Amino acid sequence: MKGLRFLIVSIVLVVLDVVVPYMVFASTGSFAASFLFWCLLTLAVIVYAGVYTRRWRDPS
Amino acid sequence: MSGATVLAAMGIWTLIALAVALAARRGMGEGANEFFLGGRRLGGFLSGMTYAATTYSAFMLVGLVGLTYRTGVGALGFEMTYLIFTVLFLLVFGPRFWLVGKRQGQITPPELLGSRYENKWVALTAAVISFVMLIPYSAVQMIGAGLLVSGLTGGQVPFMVGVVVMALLSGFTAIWAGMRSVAWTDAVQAITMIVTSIVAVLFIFWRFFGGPAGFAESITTQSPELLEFTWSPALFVGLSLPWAFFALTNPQVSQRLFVPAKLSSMRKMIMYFAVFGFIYTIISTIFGFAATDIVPGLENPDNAMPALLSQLPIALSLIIFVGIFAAGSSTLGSIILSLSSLFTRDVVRVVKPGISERAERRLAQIAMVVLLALCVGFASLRLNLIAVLSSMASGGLLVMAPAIVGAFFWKRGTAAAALVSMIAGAIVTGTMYILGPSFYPLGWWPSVWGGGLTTVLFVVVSLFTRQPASAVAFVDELNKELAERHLT
Repeated sequence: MKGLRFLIVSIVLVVLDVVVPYMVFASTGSFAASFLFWCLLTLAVIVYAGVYTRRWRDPS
Repeated sequence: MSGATVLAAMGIWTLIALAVALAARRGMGEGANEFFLGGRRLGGFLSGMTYAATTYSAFMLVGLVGLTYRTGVGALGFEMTYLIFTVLFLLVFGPRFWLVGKRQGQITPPELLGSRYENKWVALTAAVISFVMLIPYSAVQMIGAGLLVSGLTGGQVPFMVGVVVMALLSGFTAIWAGMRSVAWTDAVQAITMIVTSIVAVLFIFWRFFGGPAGFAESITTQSPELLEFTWSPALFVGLSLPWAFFALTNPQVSQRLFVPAKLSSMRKMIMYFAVFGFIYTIISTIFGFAATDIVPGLENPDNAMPALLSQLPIALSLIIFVGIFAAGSSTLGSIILSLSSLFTRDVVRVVKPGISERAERRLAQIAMVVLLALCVGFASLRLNLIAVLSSMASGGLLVMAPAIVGAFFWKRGTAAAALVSMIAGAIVTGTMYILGPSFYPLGWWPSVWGGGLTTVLFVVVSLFTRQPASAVAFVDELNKELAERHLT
């Protein structure tokens, strides 16, 4: 289940990464458009990575 | 800037890096595992920094700055897309490479492929493709160093001095103590890269724009078109696709998935790298935007960073120059070490399986000298092919992606399919890059066609050829181990 959830989250992130800048922000000349969107999306992925790996433990 | 000043900065930096490399050898044991992978016992911070310094080359503060200068925010999107894919791939493939490598003792990524597909020719083919694509890419790092020193000094320091100094520094760090000296110097270089760029960007904000808000207002008012996403889908996909798979297909980075001491070290490696990449990418693009305001109207966008440096105080220019030089030499050292391991493990062992580990290490050190000499020779030709070679390196290595993904996730994947897909894909992709954009079908880049072709070939040929006997056990055992450690 964790694998499937990861796959779905990844696909959604990648689709958003391409679709939103083209469909929503393409002609907005502001830092608060594509620039901010890509920064926030990447930040979300980094936070997700932190949560996803929190159970990575070494055998005692 | 005077030649003596640049030479002094380069000399001091080289001495610092050499001292770190020398110290790294202490405690190093014998054997290939020790030399090529640092004994698989690097901590999280060291693993993360060597991963970051290997990944982020001089391209960031020269190429990406130029790309932002010319095309605007799309450059940030392309680089952040790379980072997003890399982090996601590291979460999936990091533990898999690490567990299999530890269990089966593999040193190189092609060796892992050869084992999974039970075919030494698969490993050999992956190694040869890596050589073809990465030797010119290594030369590009040196060309960048040569252009930077000669450009900064107005030709007072010759192009070849930059080339040779970078070759000597990278060569020494890799030959001296293998992964240990490369990782330690990478850590120092990564810290240098990030600190120098943060200092520079803060200076630029306040010196030229009165602060970050002034910078944003200035760019938004004077060049709003740079903040609009105007890249064609063909350009965005063509550039992003091969870089998206960089973490899997480039042996100098995928080999680093073998080196963390523990799983918790790998977690730290991923997080340190991700944060480093996030900050460094934003800073690189800010340099590009700032250059449009400070040094507008440049014909060649690759000159944006050198032109920007010429507007800064000498001390600041020098520390950024050192940061760029560090980025190039750390990438070069890692590639040279990785290629030498591919040469001894995946090429020499095919013809001489019984070679001792001591002889293997000596051979790797000789191979590094030869590789560096080849790269210096290539760089000395000063061919106007930097962009083509860089694109071809990432696009060409993409042809290995289906075989790598299939190795872990598709039991049905076969050796014949891996061989056919890699060879046909490399020929088609390489030919298209050499022929140039006018030969790109429907305007889509070679990476798109090559990536599509290799995927189709890998699937179709797998369905019609015999599955390796141990494929099911390979995947099942790995999945079992992943489940036991709560990794799936």
